Amino acid sequence: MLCLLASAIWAGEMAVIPAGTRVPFFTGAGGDKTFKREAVPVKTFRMDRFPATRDEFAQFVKAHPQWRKSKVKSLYADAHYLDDWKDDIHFGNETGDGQIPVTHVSWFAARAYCQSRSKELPTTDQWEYVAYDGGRGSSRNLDWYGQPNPAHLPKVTSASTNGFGVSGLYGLIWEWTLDFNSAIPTDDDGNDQFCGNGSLGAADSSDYASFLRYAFRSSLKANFTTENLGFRCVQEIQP
Amino acid sequence: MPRGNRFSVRRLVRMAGCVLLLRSFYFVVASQASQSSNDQDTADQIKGEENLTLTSAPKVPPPISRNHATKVIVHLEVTEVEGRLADGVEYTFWTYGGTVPGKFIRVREGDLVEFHLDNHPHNKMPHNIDLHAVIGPGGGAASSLTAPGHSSVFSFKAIHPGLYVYHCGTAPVVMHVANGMYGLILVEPKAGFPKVDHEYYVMQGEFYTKGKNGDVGEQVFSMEKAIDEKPEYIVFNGSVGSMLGNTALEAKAGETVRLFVGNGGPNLTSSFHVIGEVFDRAWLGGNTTAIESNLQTATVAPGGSVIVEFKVNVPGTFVMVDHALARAFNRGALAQLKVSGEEDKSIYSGKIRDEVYLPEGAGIKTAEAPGRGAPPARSREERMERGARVYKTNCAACHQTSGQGIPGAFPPLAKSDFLNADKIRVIETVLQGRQGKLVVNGQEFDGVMPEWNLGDEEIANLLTFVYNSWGNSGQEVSPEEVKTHRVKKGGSPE
Repeated sequence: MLCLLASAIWAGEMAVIPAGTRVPFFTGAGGDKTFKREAVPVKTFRMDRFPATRDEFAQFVKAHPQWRKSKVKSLYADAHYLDDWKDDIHFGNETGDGQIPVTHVSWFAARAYCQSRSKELPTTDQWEYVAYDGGRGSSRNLDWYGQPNPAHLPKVTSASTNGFGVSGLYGLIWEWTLDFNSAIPTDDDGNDQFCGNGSLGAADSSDYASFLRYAFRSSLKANFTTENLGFRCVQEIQP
Repeated sequence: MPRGNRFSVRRLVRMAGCVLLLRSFYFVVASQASQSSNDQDTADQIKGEENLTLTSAPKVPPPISRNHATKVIVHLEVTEVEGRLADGVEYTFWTYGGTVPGKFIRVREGDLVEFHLDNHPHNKMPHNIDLHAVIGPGGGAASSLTAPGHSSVFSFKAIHPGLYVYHCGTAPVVMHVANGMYGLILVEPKAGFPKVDHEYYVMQGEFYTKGKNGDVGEQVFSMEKAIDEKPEYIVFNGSVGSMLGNTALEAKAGETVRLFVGNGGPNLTSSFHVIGEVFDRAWLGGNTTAIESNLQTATVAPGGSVIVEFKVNVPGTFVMVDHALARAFNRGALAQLKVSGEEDKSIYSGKIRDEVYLPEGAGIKTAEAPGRGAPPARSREERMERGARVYKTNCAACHQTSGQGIPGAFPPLAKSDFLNADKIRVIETVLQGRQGKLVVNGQEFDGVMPEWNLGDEEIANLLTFVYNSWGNSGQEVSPEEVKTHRVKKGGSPE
């Protein structure tokens, strides 16, 4: 009991992700179609256990008026920014709404939120490293991806927790990463990969869930917002 | 190209000037060429602008009446929707326009198409589009990856006439296509198509569900089955039974039908066939410049198409299948075309009659009596006694125990004029069977008696018994007589 309590206090709102290695899903950036199965080191870091909630984001926009939906510059957020909010600082009336993940946020807004808490958005490698869950395999489950968005998003606490103590990486929402737009290789003309050649340069052509995530990220620009795209933050651990 | 034509026309005119003798002839040719070249120019110029109306299968937009190219604006909206895959089976389809297959796009050769791919804000996935009619990277896919709540716009010139597949090209492309992201775009040739009474849109596709075919409830995509190319469902127009019963395609006898057929795949080649029809004309691969005639089954590649045309001559239900038949019988690749109207017996009679089939092979005649031949009867009494047993075993069920027969069904053998008039005819009847109209004792019969696989001795016993019972003529039939007629009928035709 003491031990459990100690562990919870120690972990806090963030989980400590131990250092390790990861084979990137794509290595073929810049038109290099040959996949190099080389593990890259991942340093230890902390990651939010849950995606940012509407409650938390409401506090953020109260403190930083430039991120309210009436104030935000279109350069930093498209017309769907906080689309489902009643007004600048209120998201809705239903009980528990504050505990559902905030979505309809742009990369700029998400990053500003993390930085306001002395954090940062995770890199794609960091995010996928945690999602890969030390090889436990749930990151490959396709079921969530094949279902339409629910009319009402569930609370962040409803999602499953993986081996690192992190919840909701899949089965809840999409999440921004710091380097989302360099996550998928482009060909010599700068085109995104599509169709059959989308599998060129990938670590595993039968990991459809990874393809879906990488394709989603590559469809984005930093001011885009969508109904099911939220984020969580990470923090460096100084040695 | 028009510029090049004009140049060559000028050269032709110059040549004509040199060849004085043929001068007038060349002038005729040159002026005609020049005229058609000018038409070409006019036809290729983009005139005006038009918002294109698209249709959901099985409907096809009407033929294009324009005689010039125009700028057409196409809005295709991607939606992710739950729907019926089969009775009791739900699936989340990713669609171009809310249905599988996606909406039918009909443009004219030479048109400039301004394409808007609209990804609905409620969608979860990014999508793009690869139209096989597009000349350019990814067939448009390179320019159209679109996040939910956004639109991508690109334009292309519809250069090549034909019927083309379009589909999503976003990784993992197999999943996007297997979830229903395909449709057809027709680039109608400048000259148009011959007029027909009906045009329909039929597209095949496979679904890879985790549950087996028929497992009810909500089904999800199985990556393993998709990679193995082992679908649970293979269907026309997005679901099992999409065109059956009151949703069947319709036509009237004497009308012409044109089907625009596509195959979205993602993996299997279709063998498209309409049971009970022959395609009068077929444009294989959707290539409008090469016509096949009298085609029975059209191969439609995944990512390919065919246009077929046929006249429905007679009424009835005509079933469309993938003729790789387990797909039709077990996986759903089956649809109906119902044709109403007057029958034409000269083309198809319908069933004229049912007949009992007496196979030749079962009655192979041999010179020898079958091996089970009874030992020779030593007396007329013995022959009668044995004959009674043969009768009871083989004949009494129909002709009845006292040979009275059954009126209207089985002729009587008692006091039978047919029997007593001709012994040989009776021997042959037992040996070879008999079928058709027959008058016995003034009553008409129209039935069948099979041939009897009995030995010469047995038949001699039987017939001697019959001729000496129930008031018949009292003749005797010998095994030799039976053998004679067996050989005569079996060995050499009369």
